[in-house]
Amino acid sequence: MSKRNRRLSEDFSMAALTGKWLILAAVGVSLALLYVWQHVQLVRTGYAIKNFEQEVEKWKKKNEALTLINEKLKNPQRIESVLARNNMGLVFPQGKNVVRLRYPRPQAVHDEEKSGSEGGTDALLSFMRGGGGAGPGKM
Amino acid sequence: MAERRGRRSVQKGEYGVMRNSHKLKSLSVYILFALCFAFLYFRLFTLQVVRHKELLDRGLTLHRLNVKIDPRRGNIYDCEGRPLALSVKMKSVYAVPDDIASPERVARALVNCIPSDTYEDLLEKLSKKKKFTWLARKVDSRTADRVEALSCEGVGFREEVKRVYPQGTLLSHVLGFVDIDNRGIEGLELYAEEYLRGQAGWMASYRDRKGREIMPLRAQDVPPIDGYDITLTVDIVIQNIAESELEKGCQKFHAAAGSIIVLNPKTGAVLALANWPTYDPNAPSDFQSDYRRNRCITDVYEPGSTFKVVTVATALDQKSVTLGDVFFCENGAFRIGRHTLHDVHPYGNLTTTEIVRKSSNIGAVKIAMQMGAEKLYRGIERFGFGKPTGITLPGEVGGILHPLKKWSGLSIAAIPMGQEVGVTTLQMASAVAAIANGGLAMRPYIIQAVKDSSGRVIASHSPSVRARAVSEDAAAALVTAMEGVATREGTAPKAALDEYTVAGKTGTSQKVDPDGHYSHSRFVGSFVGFSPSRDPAVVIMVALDEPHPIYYGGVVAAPIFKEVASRVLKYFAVPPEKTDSEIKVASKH
Repeated sequence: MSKRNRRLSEDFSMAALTGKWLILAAVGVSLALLYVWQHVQLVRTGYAIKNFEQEVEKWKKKNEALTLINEKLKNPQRIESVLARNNMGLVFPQGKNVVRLRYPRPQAVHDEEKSGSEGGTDALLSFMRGGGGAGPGKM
Repeated sequence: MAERRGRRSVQKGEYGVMRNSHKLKSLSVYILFALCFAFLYFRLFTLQVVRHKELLDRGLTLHRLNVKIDPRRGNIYDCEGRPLALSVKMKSVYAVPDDIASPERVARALVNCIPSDTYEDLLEKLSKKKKFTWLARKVDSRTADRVEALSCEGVGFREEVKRVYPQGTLLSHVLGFVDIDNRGIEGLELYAEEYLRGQAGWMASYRDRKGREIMPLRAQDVPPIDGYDITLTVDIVIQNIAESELEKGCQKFHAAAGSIIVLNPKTGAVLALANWPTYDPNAPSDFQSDYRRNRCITDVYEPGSTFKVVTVATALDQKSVTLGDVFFCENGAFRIGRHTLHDVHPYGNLTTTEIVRKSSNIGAVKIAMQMGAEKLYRGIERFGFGKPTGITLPGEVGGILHPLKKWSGLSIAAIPMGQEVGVTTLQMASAVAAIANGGLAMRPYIIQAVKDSSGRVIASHSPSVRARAVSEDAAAALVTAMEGVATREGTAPKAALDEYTVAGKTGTSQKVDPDGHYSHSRFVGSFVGFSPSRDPAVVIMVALDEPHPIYYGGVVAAPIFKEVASRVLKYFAVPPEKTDSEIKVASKH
């Protein structure tokens, strides 16, 4: 090999080596950037999750407040004293005013639900559909 | 040639000078960089090694986020799932007095928003040399919004959980209440503190400069375990009926206090338990401590004539008497030793049934004497007197039942008619429930189930038999006798219901004065009964403390029983036992 050819060959192998290093560096930088991007995305997603959590918390609080208002409004003491007597002039029904429906009394329904047997709401619905099953209310 | 050589030497000299100059410049730059790097390394060393601990601590303080996560305190529900005690998140207002330049200005601004504090109170709090002070805890959302709108310097908010009782005063003596830190103080809140409290969780993480959590850096996350929910046997509708009628009765007869218990005799489940005066657990400090006492289980009183059912039931059970046996009631005055026992009205011969119906003291004592003290004592014990019923509420007392060996010669003449013994309203209701239940005494209970936040049942209470108080036959016979009480011939015609049969017993007992003698002006009027008498849905016990001027149980307590029983039986949709014609006939009489 001539002297010139040898130099050209050395230059070529040098350039190839440099190219390899450059590619390696590029890959390294890309990986580093990917890692940073991933990390940033992770942090951003974390913020988004936190925001959603706060949003859920906000609605939960709203729900709690509304439940509380609802329960206060349904307080039988309030209904009896404020609505039934003062505002609307309602009175408790006397004997003959009461019309008894032939379905299980509330306590019986509740008891059946507790025992886990077929009954409760299902029994009531089945009775209302005409399926029978539940007899007249009795303590 | 020489010229060229001379030019070359000149060039060499210039090149040497230039080379030296470059070297110097390079050296200068090198030294400059070296100094810079030396400075940087020095700074790095100072920061990383010398001030490492201090800066690490400062950094961690700024960015570390350690949060204690409070558990949700368990809710309390009635038997139909209606909430009785809830935990809701509310804002608390705090101040950092050190950050407030003008406490006067802030106090003036806040005084219109925080109604609980005066200007002077606020100024005092804001002028303290402190880093933190509460201004108002657990305020409603409107107050919080108004304070937030002011944007006062050094004033902030912290979220806290507040215990609220949406039913107000209803069932307050059973529920109890919690302190500002949500620890149970009274009632179920105290008794079931272990179940309700839950377990706090915690989270360790880091926050950015805006205070937001950096989730990927979250190191530890231990979620809280919420408190268990409790479902009671109480029905809030029945509770309301009991409380409203008790209040009306107490006010009508000017009673100092009153108690009422509604039990399911077949299971022992407490359907309602109320005392008057009452209080609002949302603001317990607004009421006298006396109002907060659960009298049904903490107050002991002499039951008076209601105790005769225990005497007669035991005698029937022991076959010492039958309903038809006749006793001479001494025309109203019976001498025992140096003491004379009286009846309210003088009676001659009375059967056992009539003794119960007319509530003859002399008759009851003669029945007990015929039976003997020991049998009476064992009978009383079987009914559960002298020891707590075991209801899951704090502060229950066992009452007073002296051991047989401590009975005096007069005890056999006092105990059968409800003197010399101390009972609670719950004990008395439970004893009569045993008679209503064919002699089987059920253990009274108020907690139906304990569930976790996902609704899984952790513990449940099923009805349990405490003891057989009397035989079924004896119980049935006594029911027959007790049915006569709520009639025109009995002591409590005002307890009679239009549509249902009633069995019951009145009681009027004298209270003991501080000097140890029976009072002539302070009485406890009571009535205990059940309906329908042959297949009872409810047992109701009513006791009024110091009603006046009328104090007879048949007059002051029986009407309350009637109203409550009537409304509760309608609520349960119990079919009427009497026809319309029977009701009309009864009302004409």
